[in-house]
Amino acid sequence: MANNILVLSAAGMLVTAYLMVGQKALFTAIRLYGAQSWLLAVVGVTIALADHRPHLFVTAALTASLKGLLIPWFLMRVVDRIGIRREVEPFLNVPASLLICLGLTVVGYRVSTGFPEGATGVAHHVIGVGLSTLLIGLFLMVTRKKAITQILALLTVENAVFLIALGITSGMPLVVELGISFDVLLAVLVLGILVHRIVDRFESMDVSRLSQLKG
Amino acid sequence: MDILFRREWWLPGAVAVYVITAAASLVFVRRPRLCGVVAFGGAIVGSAIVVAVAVSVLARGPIGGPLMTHAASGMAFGYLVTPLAAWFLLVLGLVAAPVALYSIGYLPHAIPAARTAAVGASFNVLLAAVAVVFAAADVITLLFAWEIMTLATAALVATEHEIRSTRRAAYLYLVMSHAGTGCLIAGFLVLASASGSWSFDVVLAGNVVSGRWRDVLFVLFFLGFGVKAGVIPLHVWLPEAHPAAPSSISALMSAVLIKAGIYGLFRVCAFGLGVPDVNWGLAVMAVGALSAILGVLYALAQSDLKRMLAYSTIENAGIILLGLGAGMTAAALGRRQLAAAGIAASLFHVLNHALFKGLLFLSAGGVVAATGTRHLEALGGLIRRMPWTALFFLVGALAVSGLPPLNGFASEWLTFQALLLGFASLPGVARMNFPLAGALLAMTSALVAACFVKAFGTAFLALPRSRAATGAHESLAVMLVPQGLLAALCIGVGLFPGVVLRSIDTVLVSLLGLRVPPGARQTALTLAPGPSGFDHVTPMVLALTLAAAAFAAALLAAARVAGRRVPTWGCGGVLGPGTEYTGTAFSKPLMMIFKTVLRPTREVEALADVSPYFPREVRYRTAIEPVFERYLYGPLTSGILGVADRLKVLQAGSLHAYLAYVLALGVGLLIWLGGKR
Repeated sequence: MANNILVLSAAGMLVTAYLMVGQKALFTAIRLYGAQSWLLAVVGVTIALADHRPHLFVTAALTASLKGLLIPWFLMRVVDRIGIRREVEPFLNVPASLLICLGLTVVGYRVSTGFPEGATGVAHHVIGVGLSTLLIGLFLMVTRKKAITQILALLTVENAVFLIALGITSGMPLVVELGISFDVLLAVLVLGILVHRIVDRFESMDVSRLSQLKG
Repeated sequence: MDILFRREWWLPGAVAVYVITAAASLVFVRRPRLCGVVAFGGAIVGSAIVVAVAVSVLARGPIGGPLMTHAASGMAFGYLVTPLAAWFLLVLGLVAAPVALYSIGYLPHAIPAARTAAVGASFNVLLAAVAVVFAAADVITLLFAWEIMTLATAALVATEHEIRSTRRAAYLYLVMSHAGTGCLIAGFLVLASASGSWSFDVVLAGNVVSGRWRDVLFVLFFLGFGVKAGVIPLHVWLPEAHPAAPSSISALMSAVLIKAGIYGLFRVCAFGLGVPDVNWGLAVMAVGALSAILGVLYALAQSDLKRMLAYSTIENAGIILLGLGAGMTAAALGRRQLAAAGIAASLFHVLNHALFKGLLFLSAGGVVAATGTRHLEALGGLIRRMPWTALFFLVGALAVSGLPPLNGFASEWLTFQALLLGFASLPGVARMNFPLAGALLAMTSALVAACFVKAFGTAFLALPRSRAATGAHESLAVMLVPQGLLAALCIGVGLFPGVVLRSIDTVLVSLLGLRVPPGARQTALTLAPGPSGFDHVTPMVLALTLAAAAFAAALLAAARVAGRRVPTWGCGGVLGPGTEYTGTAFSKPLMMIFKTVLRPTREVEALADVSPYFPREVRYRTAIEPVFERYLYGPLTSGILGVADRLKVLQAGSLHAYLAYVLALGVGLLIWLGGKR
């Protein structure tokens, strides 16, 4: 039972990543990120119940509150404030992006057998999903023009790393996880301010225009 | 006082003196005159200790000791003065001391006073680095000192950095040196990883690598050390850097820095990779012959005094390589006596070239300081205004031309003997190459003589061609004394070559493992390539014969012609500086003979007011084609720049592109690692 929930929510994270690739509306993308974080929290809770690791409850609660609520709210506020077009502007069109992400998923699953601890069973699925999500997150970073979508992509990568860590170690020490959570929060704050700045200076959030800074 | 009696402290002591002096000269940066005295006085003390070390090693055997030990990594750096290193240290000390003394008087005339401290410090750092290069006992110490040496020299070359061509010269020197050092690092890393040690005892034992790798390493080291040695085609930095530096620095570079490259060729290429291959020896000879003949041809085409001396340095590096190549070929074929003759000639020429080229650069520096120009066609008549400088330049010119009884004769004659003996005793292909190299060397010697007749005649004889030359004054005594010392050494070594050859025998015994020293039967006065006897020459007798012949000719001339002093007939016109034979005109016939090599171009422009038959002014411009710069380095640099241009696409400045690289690399690594299991 626990294993089924675990695999289901992990797979759900992968699905949200795919939806983010296919999504054009900015707000929906942010909500999808929130949903992904809730799913990650579910993974944490399941492992905590199955393996009797109470400190994972704290981690899950932090994940749900910070990444599931606070960060999406903050990002939406930033988007509202700077009043940009609420559309994602990718370099690649959606079908091509989805095809590439399919390839990345194959790579992620193929490679996940390489981890000695997670060669079989549930952990294999979790790591495979985590690696695929990580690669898709990186891909999002490469192909999205807006700074805010790149922040979303970075957060997706962070979620994926968290998932892989859970899959391999069944939960890191609490101190590490607390540290990571606050790091992410701080990163989002800093990036939010940076986005403001970029819009101020360039009157656009298009990161590809930063290449004008090249000497 | 005990420290003075422990020989192993002397060399670190000398290096310490140099380093402390460098620091001290920076302390006195606000008082240029005091700073000059401190810096160069310290350099003289250090050089004296270096000479003492060298003499001690040549007389009593090698000295070695630790320099630094790092307990944590187990690395130990040390020095070892072998007889070979001692020979080069001797050259360093003998030239550096007079050059330092000269600098005290020369630098205030040559550079802004505020730069004295920088030059003094760099000078001492350079001397320390060269001393460590010669004495290094392991790879790390050598490469470290080698780079310090390069940087110090670059700083010295760039002394007058407000001149564009000087900056270019320093840059070119740095680029070529670093390319060379890259070859050295690659070669030493191969040796070190193959042997598992950094120490030269192991790395250069000669049994580390075999087969094809040996050839690869030879080429790497030959390129690396060849850049510093200034052999063609790796010479292009040399004629730019030597004239750009202050003259005393040029003297040091030509006499000592070039020898660091030669030392590397001896230490590694000839005796560090096992018994040399025949082809290596022949390659070294070929490069030597090429450098000698092309060096002197280019020298002949120059009208800049110091540039001419720089090309002459290339020519002399070629002669040194001819002897070394002959020795390597003979060693490869197992002819030890012949190898000894070639190596001895080469080592002897190392000393001689340092002495006479140091002297020539110092004299040229005197001329430059007195007239403010290096251009030969603007000089003339200086023998009346600067008689001592003229005398010393003449001694140097005679020595570089290889005329007896001066020192240049001794080593060039030995080189000839080695080449001719090689023809007599070697089998196969090698046999044919020896007389060919000998013929080229003979032509080189004759052309050098022509070149220095041109230099001396144009600069010192006849009437001054410019106001600067008219107003020239003799150099200060502090500048003349070092020239006198070097001139005396040139003459002394030329008259008593046997004394020098005995020291060289010590080096030969250590290098070649000969049981009987090759020149065992010679006396202090004779010069012989081997113990055979019939080819002994006594320069003293030659000198006396020449002097007697000259005296007799003078007597005859005086007896037959009753003198009547009249002005030179000028076809009815007035004879002035404008009607003098110029240096360019003097070398023109030779340039025409060698025009296939030099490819001279000329441009004559006649400016006339009324009729072209009555030109108001005629302008004549001549130049030689820079063959190596244009056809070798031109395509090389444009190729490198082209590749760099194409690689620049990668650095697009786009965040997305960089992220894509990260993604591609990550996926690639994952696939690669996943595929491995």
